[in-house]
Amino acid sequence: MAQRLTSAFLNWREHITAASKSSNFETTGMISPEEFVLAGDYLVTKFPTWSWECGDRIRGFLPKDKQYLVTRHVLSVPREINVDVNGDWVDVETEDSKFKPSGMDDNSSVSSIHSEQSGSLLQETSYDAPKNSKDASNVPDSEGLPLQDEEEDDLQMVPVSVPRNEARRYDLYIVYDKYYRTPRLFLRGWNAGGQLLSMKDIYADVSGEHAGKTVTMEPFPHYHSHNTMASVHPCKHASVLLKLIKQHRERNEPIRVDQYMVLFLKFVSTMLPYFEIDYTMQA
Amino acid sequence: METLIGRTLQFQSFHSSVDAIFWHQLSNHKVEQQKLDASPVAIHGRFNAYSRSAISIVFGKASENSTIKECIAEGTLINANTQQEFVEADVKKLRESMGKKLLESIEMDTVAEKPNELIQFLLFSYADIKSYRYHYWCLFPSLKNTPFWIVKSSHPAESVIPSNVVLPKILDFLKTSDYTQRPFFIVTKDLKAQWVVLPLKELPRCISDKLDFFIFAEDSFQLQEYPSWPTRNLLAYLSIKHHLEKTKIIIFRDGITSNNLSRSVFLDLVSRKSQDSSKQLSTVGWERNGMGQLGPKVVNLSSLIDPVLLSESAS
Repeated sequence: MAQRLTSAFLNWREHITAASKSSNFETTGMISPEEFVLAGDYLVTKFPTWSWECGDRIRGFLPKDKQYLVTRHVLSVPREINVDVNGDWVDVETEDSKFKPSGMDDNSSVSSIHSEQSGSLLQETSYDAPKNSKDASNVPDSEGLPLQDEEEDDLQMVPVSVPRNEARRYDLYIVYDKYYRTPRLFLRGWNAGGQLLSMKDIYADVSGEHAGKTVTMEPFPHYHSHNTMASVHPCKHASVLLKLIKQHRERNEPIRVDQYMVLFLKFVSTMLPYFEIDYTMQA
Repeated sequence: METLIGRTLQFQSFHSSVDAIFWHQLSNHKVEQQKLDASPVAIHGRFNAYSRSAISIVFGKASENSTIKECIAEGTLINANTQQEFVEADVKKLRESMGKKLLESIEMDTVAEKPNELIQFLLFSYADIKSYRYHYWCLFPSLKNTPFWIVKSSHPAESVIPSNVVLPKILDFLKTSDYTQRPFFIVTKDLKAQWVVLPLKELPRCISDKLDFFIFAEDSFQLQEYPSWPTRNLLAYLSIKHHLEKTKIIIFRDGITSNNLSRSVFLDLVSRKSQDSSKQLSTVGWERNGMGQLGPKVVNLSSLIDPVLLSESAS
């Protein structure tokens, strides 16, 4: 209930915040909805992996067909992280309470809320996983299925290797945050087996200083239904972007407002260091 | 792909990416409309050259003005009423019925009007709504025991197609035709030696006029060396319906708004009856789970959508 009230409050706060019309992104690091559309248009033109979408809850201050930006299946590449074997996704069918990836043990008060929340996003990778939950115990082993032979002697299919340490894939969404007047990133991830990642899994792909602090589970604003997703809280976005804008100006490579989203992606890539995000300005 | 020359072409399977919003919409549908009626529901999947052989599954029919950046596969959702129904379902029968549908599309040649019928798929699920657990299994059907295709030669697509001329024409073609015309279409030179982009239904004319044509198959790939599921079904169509024994394919891996064909590959293919071709056609295509095995997956979304858990976590 508290979550709903908070969401309601945030919606209301956003509702009463008038959308800014004047352009002052160079001095504030913030952009107006019109500039969000402009910068988004530049992004989808220059980077073919991004496109506009509309969701089912239309926010009136943005054009109907340009509500938010999305890119799908961005790889987060395998990396050396000091998470022990149990923290890897292949073992996610174990109860979350049984293990904690290192670095997650001493949660700050902020992150503990969200790691508890994520704790129940349990992803069983397969039916023949150890039977540790009551309603998964009466489903068959895949070996018992009548399909195995027929599908396995299919000579035209590339033999399947178990994607143990393979990269995860993410869908990234950029929405406009009317209160902070900046873009805001939402992300949804899948492991190599196509299973949705839990919040805890996602933390492993986020740089240490952001995991559990600025990255939290939030309702995605472009759907009516209560669809929560990991999101980077935008409270620091404007100041960071302003710094980046100044740096570019000092290097005599001033940023145009339509390039703002590319700059935003550059910033995002520092928080998501393992993601293959393209933000090359010359594109 | 040079390493493939002289070898039998193999294909990589697709993976499904099912978003939490899909399960939420399925729950609403189940409670408000479906109730105990288990009739199939229309869904669709989206992919493009950059999606690494993953297909994003979306609830409901594709909208007419779907984004041009993506290919759309039409799918069927069968949602079992009970866990028992799900567990005891004859998955082999389900698979063969989808294979039969695919074969019918090929033999009746509804593919000519709607090329994306070659990439129809099935999602079989059981939604345990009270506990927010969703059991599911995707089928991307292909036909087994069709003739094999041997790679005669393979080159970068740019060596056979002038991308600066052809890419704008492809973009125009896709802008003016509906999404069912993807991911397969024809690129050839007309009688005036001008490059043109034609819908797949012009294939019989291209064959009878003995045109030098290329069939484009938009390809989402993960492994550089192999084309994926859509191309496999296109080649089955060329064998079964058009009895082609050789063909020129462009594995189209550059986005349609790209300005070159640097990622795309030209394949010159000849078919060879497989040892299995005396056998009857059958179907393959159940997606493997995270362990690489044939079996359904289950996802638990309680922390995302259970109001009780949400309120606990927020308090």
